[in-house]
Amino acid sequence: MTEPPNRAPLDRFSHWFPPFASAPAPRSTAPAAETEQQPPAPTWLTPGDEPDPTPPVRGGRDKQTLAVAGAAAAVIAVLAGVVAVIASTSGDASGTPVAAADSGWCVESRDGSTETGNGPGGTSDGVAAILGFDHAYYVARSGAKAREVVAPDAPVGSAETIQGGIDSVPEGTEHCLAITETEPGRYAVTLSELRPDGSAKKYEQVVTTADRDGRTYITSIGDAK
Amino acid sequence: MTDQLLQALPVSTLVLGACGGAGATTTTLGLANTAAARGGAVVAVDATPAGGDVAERGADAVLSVSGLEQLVAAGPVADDVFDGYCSRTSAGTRILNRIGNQTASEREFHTLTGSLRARGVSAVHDLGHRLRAAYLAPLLATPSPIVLVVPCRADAFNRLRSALQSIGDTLGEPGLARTVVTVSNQDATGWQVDIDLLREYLGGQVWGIETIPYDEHLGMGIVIDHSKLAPDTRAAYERVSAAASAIAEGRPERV
Repeated sequence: MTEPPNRAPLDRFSHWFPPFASAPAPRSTAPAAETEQQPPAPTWLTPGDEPDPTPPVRGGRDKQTLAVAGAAAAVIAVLAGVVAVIASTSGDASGTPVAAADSGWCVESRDGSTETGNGPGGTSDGVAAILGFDHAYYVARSGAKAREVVAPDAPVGSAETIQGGIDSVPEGTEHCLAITETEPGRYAVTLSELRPDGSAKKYEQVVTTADRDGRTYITSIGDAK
Repeated sequence: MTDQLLQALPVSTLVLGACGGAGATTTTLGLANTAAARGGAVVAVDATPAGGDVAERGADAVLSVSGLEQLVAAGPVADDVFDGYCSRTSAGTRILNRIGNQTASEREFHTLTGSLRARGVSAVHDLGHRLRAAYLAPLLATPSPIVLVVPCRADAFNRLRSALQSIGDTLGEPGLARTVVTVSNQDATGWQVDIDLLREYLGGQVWGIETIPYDEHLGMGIVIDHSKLAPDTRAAYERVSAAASAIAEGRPERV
């Protein structure tokens, strides 16, 4: 008997217990499944939401200065879209192994015009938006938050589409970005991905941003040719 | 049972999500507020690598703009200064948030852990969904209870398996024996997966399984006010808290 070579690894954790079947779709009470979906408050990403590195200051709830998970970078994003494009059109951009390291593999730094990191970002500038997108993608794992830093008319998938891409990435995947502004509003982005199984990939992307009403949003995400 | 429920939280409790949106942060706040409401000195610590939202979600009294990064950098500080770095819940929990402008480091958590122990407080650590990161070593060095939170969904239960594997790979069977799987129901229509089946599957492999019912206040996604939780929800946090205490004391109550 010849075993299909890819059959066994499909469920690597079956020794814990066999997979649970998805619950049947709700029949009688139709829209109940949507009840916990709360659209993000439109004010959650305000310019004042940037992380404040200053020493302790206390304030009430109105002084929301904490880091915004929002936005950031990158591209990969719509795994369903962009990564698929990368995989299909750009052989050298998909799956290039990168040095994997456990700790300190993504140290925030600046080298000339290149910023490296995986912080929460924001909407203060293009780098922050790219960081914010990928932080939402890999850390918050929220398509809605990722979409918050993308211009509404940008040719990037919907929050749901992005969420589909996020869900296709294993939980626990870490990311690191190297972002270089090549011209105003245009960035060369290297996205490194470290998956829980130890595998690592690198994606080369081009991201454009634009300022709108005092904030910076991503206007396009594409793979580097 | 009542005596059991009145026990204080252990020095350190680790709350881990089986997947994103599992309810780890909510459970962290629930456990901490449960202890604080009884008069315990407890700190909810953002132990995610790049900063989570435990303060935004839980600080219904005072939201500090400072983070644990600054606290650690400040070195030894007086109690009132320590409090200045913390956000607060109305139940009395202090929250140490990570701002996120630096990623977490082992040295940082080594310092922070020492500081919290010196103050004699219980710490509930919100780890997010990642246990294997190197910066967590100071938290994993002691046999703390692990509260592994999983939403009551089939897909989440299936992803729970890799989370259990991660605990096993990192801490071995002793780590699994300190793990209480906590099923969080986020669906207002009821429990969507057979938890008894999960109990059957995991019997003997983890310390126990607890459940947290759907709560309308938590389901709104607004800043959590512990006093607005349903009685059943508070009772559930009491049970998880009691489980953490039992685990810390080495009581072998398994599923």
